Amino acid sequence: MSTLLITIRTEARRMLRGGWLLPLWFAFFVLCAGAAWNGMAWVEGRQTAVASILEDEADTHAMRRKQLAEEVTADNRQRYGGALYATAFSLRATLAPGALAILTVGQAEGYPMAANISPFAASNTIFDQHTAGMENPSVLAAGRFDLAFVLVWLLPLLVLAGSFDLFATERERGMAPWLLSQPVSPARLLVSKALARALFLILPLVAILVGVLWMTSTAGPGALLSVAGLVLLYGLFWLALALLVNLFATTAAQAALGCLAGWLALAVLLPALALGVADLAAPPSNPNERANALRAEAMRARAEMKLQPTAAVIAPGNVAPNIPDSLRRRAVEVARAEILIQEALQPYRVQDRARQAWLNALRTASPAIALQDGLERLADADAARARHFQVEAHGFLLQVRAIANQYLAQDRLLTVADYDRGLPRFVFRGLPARDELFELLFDAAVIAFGAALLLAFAYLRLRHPIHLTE
Amino acid sequence: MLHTQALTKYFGAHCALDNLDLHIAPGQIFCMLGANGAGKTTTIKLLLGFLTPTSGQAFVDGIDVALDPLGARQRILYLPEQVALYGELTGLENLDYFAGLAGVPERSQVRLRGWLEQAGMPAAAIDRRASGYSKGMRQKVAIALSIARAARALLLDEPTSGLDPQASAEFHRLLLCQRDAGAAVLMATHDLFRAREVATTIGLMRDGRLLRTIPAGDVTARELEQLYLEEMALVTNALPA
Repeated sequence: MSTLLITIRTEARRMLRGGWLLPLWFAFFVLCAGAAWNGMAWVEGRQTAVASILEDEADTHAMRRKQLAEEVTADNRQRYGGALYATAFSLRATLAPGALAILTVGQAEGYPMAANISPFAASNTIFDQHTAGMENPSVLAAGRFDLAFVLVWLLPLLVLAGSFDLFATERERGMAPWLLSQPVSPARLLVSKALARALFLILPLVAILVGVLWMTSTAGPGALLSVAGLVLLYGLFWLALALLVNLFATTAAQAALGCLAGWLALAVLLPALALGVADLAAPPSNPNERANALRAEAMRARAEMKLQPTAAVIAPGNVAPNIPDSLRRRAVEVARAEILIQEALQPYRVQDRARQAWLNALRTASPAIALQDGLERLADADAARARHFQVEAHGFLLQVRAIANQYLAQDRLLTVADYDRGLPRFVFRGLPARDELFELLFDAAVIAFGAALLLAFAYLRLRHPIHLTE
Repeated sequence: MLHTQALTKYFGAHCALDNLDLHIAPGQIFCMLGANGAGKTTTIKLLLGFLTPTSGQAFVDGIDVALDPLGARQRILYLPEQVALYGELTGLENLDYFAGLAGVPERSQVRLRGWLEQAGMPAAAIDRRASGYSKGMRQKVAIALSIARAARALLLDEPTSGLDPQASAEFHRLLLCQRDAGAAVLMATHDLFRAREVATTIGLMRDGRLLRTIPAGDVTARELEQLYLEEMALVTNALPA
């Protein structure tokens, strides 16, 4: 039996008889189950909200259809026309949680999840405001206890708790010279010991996570495999850190402190530092300032419109027996407001793009950031998806406006038949799968590179293994 | 089997070993005597490849340790002052692991038990966890490993320090068995009397230098003690008769 296999077998025996491995697996299961329960509650809340919005949309359509069918006649059409038409295209765009949304709330709560699509509403007013839970004191005090928190922050602690004494105990007890006097290379011995930890410590933790996700989410095998792969890489990164620390530490206490310092630096301080750098280099745009600026542009369009006589706004000969002029004026006003709003948005978009570029680059600063980013992408709770929803919802608004303008041009009201054929519906397409995969692979590469870097340092240290016997 | 040629080791400006020439043939026991810091442990570490010589060479069975430390260790069994075992494993499992690391191919339960019993391990202790083993019992596991590996050279660093007289006597009996099996033994010790009993040759070391080699059969215990004290410059006059 090779050094690798016999060491793995021996380490497995030691870990199981040490009496800590099973409690550690159990602790991780409890953490995952608790976080998944939290995640399920959040997902359920959001699904209920989305369902309620869509139900409201369907109810509105049913009501309008009924009004058209039962109340509007040729005689009263003029009276009903404007009011009915103005609210006829009452559509909603919603962003439903993804199949793996229980992984993390991520940035989903920082962005709107629904939009009111009405052709006669200015585009700065279509998105619902969402602050759900963010102002809740318990959320502020306890942080967001989701699976991402467990995986990004707590999993490393469990991996380090199970591997901090990879070789330091042998050194502390004076066993190292006797062990290394056997005809086996120190590198092979230590790699074998680390592999044993990977097999009996990290792999079971990943299996527990996948089991919990399988039971609590609707994710398919591909998504579960992606999570497993990413988390496995992350676990191996922390194992590599433990290995490196053990090449320097001469006592278990030193190794424990070294691992703890590594965790603090890489999982806690570095992400905070990275965010600080991003804030300094490319501060985020102020949402209140942006909202006010856009509102000002919408008001400017309204003020301009008030100064215009109807004849200047509506082409002569475009008589409106069915649709009142006020609605036509409103259509022209929102078109003008759209131009002004898009112009006003430009500097904010530039600012957001610059910040996003910094944040993307700073993902490479720590595997903890990369994992958080990867989990958010897998959970469909990332900022890119949320922003893309806004773009698509806005696109849908323009599409609905174009349809409404056709009706205006033809002075045609919606009919029961229009409702029966079905009004346009918002379908979120999301980012191209290729882009999503690239970003996910990039996150995986950052974690793998981090692990490789630690292993490279370990290799350099192991080129002169004499110190291990001291 | 064990051979050094002008072996020298400096730690900074401090000379830990100075031009050591040593030749230990199979079936010989060479005991190094000397105070702490005399260079005994440094010699052993150089032969194990744990240290790189400043100059000179160390050979095990003709293999240059600096060039092929693993090849050299394949032929050596090292016994430190404290043999540490994995406390979570039984004596038999420890032996299985260390023998496996050393590449011993046939490690059936029967053979492992046989080696342990041959080393004097009580049968009742073989399947007990090593965390409860005495120092003597841990050393027996090491001796069992030596038997399992059929080690051609033994490097012993104060192996009987801290052992009770009975355990010490038993250890030396086992050592003689290894010698009779053809092993070359280099032992660093402070125990002059045991050294004289088991050694073929005794070397007196001080300040990294081998001052004198003495055939063990040529001196009495008292003469050896006298020589030791003289060489260590601990006394200037002979002890009274």
